[in-house]
Amino acid sequence: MTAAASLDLLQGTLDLLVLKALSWGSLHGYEVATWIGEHSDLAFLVEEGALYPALHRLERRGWVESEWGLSENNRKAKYYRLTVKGRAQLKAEVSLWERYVSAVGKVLRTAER
Amino acid sequence: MTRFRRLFRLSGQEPGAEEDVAAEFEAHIQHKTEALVRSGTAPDEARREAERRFGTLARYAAECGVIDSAERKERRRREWWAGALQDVRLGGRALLRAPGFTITAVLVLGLGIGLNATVFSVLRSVVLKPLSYPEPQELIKVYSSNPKEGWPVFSVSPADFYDWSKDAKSFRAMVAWNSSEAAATGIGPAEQVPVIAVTSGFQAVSGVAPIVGRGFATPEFDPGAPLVAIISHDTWIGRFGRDAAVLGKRWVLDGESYEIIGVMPEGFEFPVGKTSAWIPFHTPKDYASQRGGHFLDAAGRLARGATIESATAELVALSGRIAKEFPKSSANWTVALRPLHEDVVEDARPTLILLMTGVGLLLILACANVANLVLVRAIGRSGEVALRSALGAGQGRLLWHGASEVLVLVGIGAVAAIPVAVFGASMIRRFAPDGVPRIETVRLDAPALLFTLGVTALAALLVSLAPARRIARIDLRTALSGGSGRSVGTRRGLHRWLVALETAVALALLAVAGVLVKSKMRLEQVNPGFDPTSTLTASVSLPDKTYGKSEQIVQFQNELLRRLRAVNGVQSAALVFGLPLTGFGYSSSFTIDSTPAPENVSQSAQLRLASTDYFTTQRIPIVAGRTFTTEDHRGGRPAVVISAAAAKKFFPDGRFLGRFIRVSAQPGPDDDRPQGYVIGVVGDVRERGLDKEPRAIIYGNTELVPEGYLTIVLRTTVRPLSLVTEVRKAVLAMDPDIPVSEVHTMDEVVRQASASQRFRAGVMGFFALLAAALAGLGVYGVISHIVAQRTREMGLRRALGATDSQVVGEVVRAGMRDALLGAACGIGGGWLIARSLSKLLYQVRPADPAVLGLSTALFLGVAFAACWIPARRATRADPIIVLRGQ
Repeated sequence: MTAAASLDLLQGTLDLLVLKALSWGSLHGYEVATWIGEHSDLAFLVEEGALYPALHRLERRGWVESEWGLSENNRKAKYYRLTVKGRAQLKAEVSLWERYVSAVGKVLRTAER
Repeated sequence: MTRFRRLFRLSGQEPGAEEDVAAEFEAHIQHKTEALVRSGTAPDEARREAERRFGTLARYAAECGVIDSAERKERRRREWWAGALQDVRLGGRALLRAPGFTITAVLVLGLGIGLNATVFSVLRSVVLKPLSYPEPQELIKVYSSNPKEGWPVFSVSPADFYDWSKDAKSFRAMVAWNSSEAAATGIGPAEQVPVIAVTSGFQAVSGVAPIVGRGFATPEFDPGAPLVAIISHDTWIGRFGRDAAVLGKRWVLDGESYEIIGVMPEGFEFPVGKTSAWIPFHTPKDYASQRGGHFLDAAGRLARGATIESATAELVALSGRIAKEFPKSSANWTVALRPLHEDVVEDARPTLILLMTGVGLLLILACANVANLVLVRAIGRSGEVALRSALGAGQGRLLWHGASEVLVLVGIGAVAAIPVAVFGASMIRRFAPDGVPRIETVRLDAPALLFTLGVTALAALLVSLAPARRIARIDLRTALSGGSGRSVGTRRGLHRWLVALETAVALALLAVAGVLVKSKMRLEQVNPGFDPTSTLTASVSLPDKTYGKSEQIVQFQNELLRRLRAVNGVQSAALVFGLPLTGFGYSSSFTIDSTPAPENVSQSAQLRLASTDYFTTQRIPIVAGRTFTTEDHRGGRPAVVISAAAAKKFFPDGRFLGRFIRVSAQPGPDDDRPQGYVIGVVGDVRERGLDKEPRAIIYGNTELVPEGYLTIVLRTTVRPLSLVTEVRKAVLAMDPDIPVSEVHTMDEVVRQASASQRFRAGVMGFFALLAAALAGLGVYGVISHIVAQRTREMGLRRALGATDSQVVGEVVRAGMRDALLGAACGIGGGWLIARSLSKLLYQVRPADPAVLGLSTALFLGVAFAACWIPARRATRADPIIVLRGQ
């Protein structure tokens, strides 16, 4: 699997990861990127900038909201946090994802035998 | 914070979206750079690395920009709707708090909108709606025309029609028809039904095919061909019970048996009007010799590329050729064409435009009243508005807030308008005079209601903007310190305009209604030349088949009269062909003492047939000589009676007795026409219409000139309509296949003749009274408001010694000054409208002094009361209380 192919395949899950990252509280973009980097072994973000269209898309759907604030090192940064709608969406997507993974896993295990 | 930002946006400052994204990216890169520096990278290197890791800035910025702008648009829309809804809610709540205001405004608006929707629906159904044929704009009505005789449009002769339709290239197809009534027998009770005999172009011109069966085949138009008929949908259902096997059944019309070959679709009419059956018009063999007999209607469907102008040019040329070829019958005859739609709606148009003007003026009054109500409320609320303005509400927002209340009012008014319009439409259907085309199709139609609603909303918005704009301009400090609007100076100009406007509109309507009512009264006072009281009439039609011989008809007549005279309550009984005011009868030229009339004199008169007792029964006076007696029977010395107008016109020397009149009309053998020696002169009769001068009439005797279509006239000693059953029984006993139709009292016939005038006068009179009431209410509202504003000042002046009558007098004078100004405009406007109606008026000038004086006096009386009552009320208050009060 090349890096580019893995990006294509996994781009759709980026939204889910962002929602998950924000479930811990209000984060600005860089913190979201760092969180995803730290909690996964894969390079979901080939380019960190790719995160921002996702964030803005989620905001447009009303799953996250944003406001400007100051980061811990006193820089102006835009903070995102989950809305009630976003939290429900996260729950739904997580359960869908788990069903998907278990189904695919089952098939793959059968094939190995 | 988000909420705050939303507020921030509301005031109209959108932060630069692009800068927002750029700042966000920059923050990311800086954070990254710092992190890299902390992990030991050199600062220069760290920044570069951070940028590299971020990727193409421009690409992501663009992606975010697209997403954000879509979001912003959505949000703005949401917020606008939320704001608008909130205003509507606020407006609704404010209206609930003032039920008196709301109910008045809704009733006034409901009435105004409802009546407009009604009349507009009628206008649409009757006048504007295209005819219900395919490509109706191609249909052209074709008339013969003889301008020299003063007949701009005239019926068409079969010979002319066949020549035209053979040669005219401008028409794809042409059709001529002869409308008549026939006695339908055989299926169900005998009944007189409308039947149209059409030429072969019927299908091609109408463009509509039967839904059951087939159209006419060419050979079926030949004389002597088997008789066939196509029936209307209504006939199919009503007479044949929607029998699927109707084809091939036979139906007897005027004694002849017709085979039914087709059924036309539901609602099909050709020509416009109810028809029970269409039958082929059988071309007479010798039609070419009958060029002078004009009795057909004709129409054509334009060929592709042809216009009414090109068709007119072609037919004029054709008839010019015919006139040269047949100078005896066709000299001076040409053609006149006009669109069929125009031809159908022409007569109804002026009345409907009149009604539309009436309801339009009513709507102006309704809007003016609502504007005044809104204005008064707005002034009462100027403190609140000033406060909102001080707190930063924008002008647009304030205007919209004011307007939203009006829109809510109009909305509720529209709901109230629906029952008014539905009721109005049913009233119009019921009371419209006979002969209004397509009146039965009038329904309250949604486009009409929506159109009216739109106009009203627009008008109401405009009028509500006036106060709102003024309030938006008021001086904040004055308004806020002054409290409840007491010290907000009201410009009285707007109020004064309202008083003038309402007076003008009401008076214009009163003046127009006044001349219409007077015209109607004049018409009803006209002496028709006979005595219509206690007279019953009914028509019978003897089928040619069974009553082909003159003797049979004469025998039937005498037996019928004998039976009718025997009926209890009948004083005298008579028969006539061509009852006055029913449109029956024909005219013809004639000779006196067998001398042809000089070349340039048109010597023609109306022909009527009367039985012996006709003149006595109708109480038409004998002016000279005598009328028919039983001596004037067939075989005796032939006799005719002439009317006073005929005596004056054709025998100016007064030597008419004993002169021989021979009607020289064609077609038909001579003995079908009255001829004989003049034995007497009778009084003139208005037979064309109450407003038309009597014409010269020649009366033949029903016994001398047997005619199968006759009208019974009975003078009764009891209530005329109580004898209807007896009359039917008498006819039925003689021949069950003869239908009795057109049963009316002569009073009804006369009333019917003034029906249009009565309808117009009635409806406009109603509108005018409504207008007077609305305008009175409006003036009352305006003056009440002015008085309420000046209560303090009036109290002060009374405390200083002014008498009540001085104070009241001043208010009334000011109000009446505006009313008089309006009255002057109103009379002018009313005169202008009435002048455009002069064709509809009978013996009344548009500026009838009595009418104008009376309506002015009436409305100024109303205006005076509307000024005096509130002014008077103000003086009732104790000055001390008033002065302390504020």
